[in-house]
Amino acid sequence: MDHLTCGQLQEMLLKVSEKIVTSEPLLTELDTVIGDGDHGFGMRIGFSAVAKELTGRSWNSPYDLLKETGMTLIRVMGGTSGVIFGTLFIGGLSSLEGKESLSVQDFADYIDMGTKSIARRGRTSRGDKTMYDALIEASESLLASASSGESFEAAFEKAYAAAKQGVENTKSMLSKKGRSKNFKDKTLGHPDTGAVSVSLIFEAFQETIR
Amino acid sequence: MSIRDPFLTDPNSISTACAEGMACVYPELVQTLPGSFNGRTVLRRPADPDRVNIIAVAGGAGNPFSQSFAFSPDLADIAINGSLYAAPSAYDCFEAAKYVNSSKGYLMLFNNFMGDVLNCDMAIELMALEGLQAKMCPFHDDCLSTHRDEDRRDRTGLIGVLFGVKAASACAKTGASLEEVAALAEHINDRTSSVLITMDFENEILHFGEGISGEPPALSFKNEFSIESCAKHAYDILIEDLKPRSDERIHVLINRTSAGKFEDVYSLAKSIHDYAERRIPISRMSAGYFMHTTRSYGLSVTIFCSDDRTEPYLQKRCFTDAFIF
Repeated sequence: MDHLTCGQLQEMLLKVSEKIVTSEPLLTELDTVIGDGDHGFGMRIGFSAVAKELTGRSWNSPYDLLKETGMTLIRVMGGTSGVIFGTLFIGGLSSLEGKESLSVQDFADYIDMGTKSIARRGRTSRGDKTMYDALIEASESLLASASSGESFEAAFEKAYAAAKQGVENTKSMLSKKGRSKNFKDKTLGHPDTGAVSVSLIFEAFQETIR
Repeated sequence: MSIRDPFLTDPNSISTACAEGMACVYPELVQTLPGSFNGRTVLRRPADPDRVNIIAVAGGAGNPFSQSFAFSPDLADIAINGSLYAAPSAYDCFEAAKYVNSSKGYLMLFNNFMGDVLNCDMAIELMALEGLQAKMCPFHDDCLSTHRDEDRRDRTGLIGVLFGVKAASACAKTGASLEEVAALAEHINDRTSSVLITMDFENEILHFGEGISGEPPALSFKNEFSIESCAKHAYDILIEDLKPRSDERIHVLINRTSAGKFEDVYSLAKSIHDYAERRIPISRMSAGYFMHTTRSYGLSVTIFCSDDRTEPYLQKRCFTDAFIF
């Protein structure tokens, strides 16, 4: 597949919502160890609302669909996760204006812009033990797939593998951001919970488009 | 995440219920934001769009309700609660600002936690798109939340924000610009320091600087389990941190935790007062339960070093439904 329609994108986002909501216990458990235990709860609230907004509706453009997704997360979630995951979906919107379907390059550029927006807003970079560590791996993988002319199936499979590797990488990092930084070296050996959420998002993309 | 409050079954709706309850009890003084998505925003009546409006933002980590800040005409104009476990969304701040439509802008004051900072930062961008000016001042008064050699602006906040809200509100009422009000709040931020004291009754240990989510304390003292020791260590830690100038006056704020006892705040106030008499005396004190800090049993002490620039804005006592400051 070399283009994503609005309908397919909507299917992907509904799959993401389902996966995040059902993963609340896992996310809560992980966040309780090195955070304040609220990540799973917040993500469930946010993506439940996304599922509600998206179910049974149709969109004419990826721009509107992804804007609705991002703004819903920002509106209902609050907290760090609301802004950060909302920014993932709205940070690259300007690259999608006027498009009715998306090529792998379009999607890679969109995720790349969202990733850069998160780095700017969260003042974060690689190695800070945040969701960014998984996202940057997935984003760079998507850009590489686009350059090689790969299909969406191959691009999402590789992006998911890259995100999982990003999660693994966070285990050996010390937290520098958010409440988990207070746990200092106790965070070693534990994955960042936001990074796990990013891998779930790309897992859902990969499961929808294969 | 454990939910220990007997009536708390839904952490996402308790803030809304609280805001609506306050508006229901005191409809002549406050209202919830009409048409609000989350329903957790409290506005003081009547709104005044012709001066800088002060927005108090709080929520997350079990920290419930800043809504009492909007009760007094001498504190915030708008109080925005998050859900029980998350900072308010950028959209909550944006829609409140849009409703009041102040021509002189908004100053958002809150504790320096990442969720609050990110959401207020985004709210400023959303407001700018509507032609509304806004600034933010994240309070970083929790002096033991970072190591001594780290930048104090990386500290989190505890309760010093109350001094900022009160002074900024009084300053805004003089017709000052957003820049002037924000500069005053930043000045207060830099001269305020707080410490949280928690108690291990079983082992008779005093802990100083425990994190609000249970992070380990920075200092612990065994065999000194008394209110006098709480006073001595808290005062010494804060004075050492602030190093008051000779032209500054010492304001003290004592806040109990939700598990702390009423009588402890006054016992500690008296002990700190007496201890300070032999050092740098205190010119003004407040004590009570102002804001949630942690679920542990304990108290926090805050010192603000006031000077001629800030003193005129802090003279008047503010009365709310929950506390006097």
